[in-house]
Amino acid sequence: MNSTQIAEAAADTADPRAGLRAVTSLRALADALELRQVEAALRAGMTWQQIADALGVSRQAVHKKYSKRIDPSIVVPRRAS
Amino acid sequence: MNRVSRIIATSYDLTVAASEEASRFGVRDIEVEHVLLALVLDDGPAGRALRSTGITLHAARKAVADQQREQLAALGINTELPGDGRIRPAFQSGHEWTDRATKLLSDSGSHGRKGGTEAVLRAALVERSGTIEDLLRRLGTTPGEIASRLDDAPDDPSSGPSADGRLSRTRTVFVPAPVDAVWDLVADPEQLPEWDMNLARVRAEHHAWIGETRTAAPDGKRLKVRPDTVRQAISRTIADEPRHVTWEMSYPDAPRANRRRIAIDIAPAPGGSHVTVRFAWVRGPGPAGLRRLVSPLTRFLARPVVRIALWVQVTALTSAISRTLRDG
Repeated sequence: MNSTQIAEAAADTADPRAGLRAVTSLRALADALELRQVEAALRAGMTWQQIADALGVSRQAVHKKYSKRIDPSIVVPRRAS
Repeated sequence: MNRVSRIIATSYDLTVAASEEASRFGVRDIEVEHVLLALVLDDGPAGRALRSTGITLHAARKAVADQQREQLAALGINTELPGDGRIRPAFQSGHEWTDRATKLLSDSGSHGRKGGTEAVLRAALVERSGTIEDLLRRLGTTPGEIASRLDDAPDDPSSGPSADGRLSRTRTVFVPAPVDAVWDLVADPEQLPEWDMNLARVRAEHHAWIGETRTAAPDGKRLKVRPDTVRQAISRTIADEPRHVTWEMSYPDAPRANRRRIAIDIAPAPGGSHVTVRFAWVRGPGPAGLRRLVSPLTRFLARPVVRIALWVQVTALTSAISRTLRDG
């Protein structure tokens, strides 16, 4: 499915109740993918600041959201300050 | 148990099971569908009502996955959540309840409801987004049918007084596995470290089993362990296949220390088994010398801490047995 088709399906407003519920699944998917990428970034040695820059949010925001959610076996480098 | 402590115990149990089920889908936020999965595992009237309609954990997990896949497909996205289907234990505090999942908990304790899993299920049955209703229909039932089964259910037999002393605590959980599968897990010395988080490993030595106390948490943090309690002598004092096993762990390098005793009863239940774990500290000779004189006083002062510690121990054991049998 190309991006135009996605936009068409997402814009289908025939059943708004079902459409709204579907959007919550989309959020869950986005969150799950974000978590995976953050874990992969930390495993690859990226810092919280680099991850925050790539996501376009503050370091504090990304640290607050993910510091306790990530796989506990990941060794997170301490901030060099 | 009063209403507040019932609500706290309920939210703890549901958080552990719901976060573990959420982790299979690669998500950390506990949503209403994960609460439903946790309720399917409940040992009280809520779980019995759900399972009495033939709902299994396997079917409920599939309904959740189907629902998510179809909803994403409706938006033109043909993929699934990225979880690998394996449970990540809820050792860490990184799980949060979404607003609508939190509402199920808060509703369960308000409007004259008495808290507990039954009240959470009743709140879930009228959950406004329609997610739970849709899942129940996928599972061949309706909120109305579940509600009437709850109404017809007899009072919870497990709420009677337990026979626990000051140094023991008993807990019963439902696990979605047959009696033999539970037995194979809990009666095997080599599998002890899978569900007794106190043990890092177990090895056979001269017709006996020697365990090594865990000195690091799963997240790598060092645990405070007395050097003379690292080595544990493990014996299976009762083995009545496939219904009962009793384990005793003593510390050969600290002969005056208390021993640990874990007694497990397994009983068949519709859709799985009831597993009753009784955790106890068996008093050793106690301290020698001057400390012996003050030990009655320290024992008295430590009572509230001991009660909580026993609850933590027995809950950790039942959660881990349940998790191990649900994983994979």
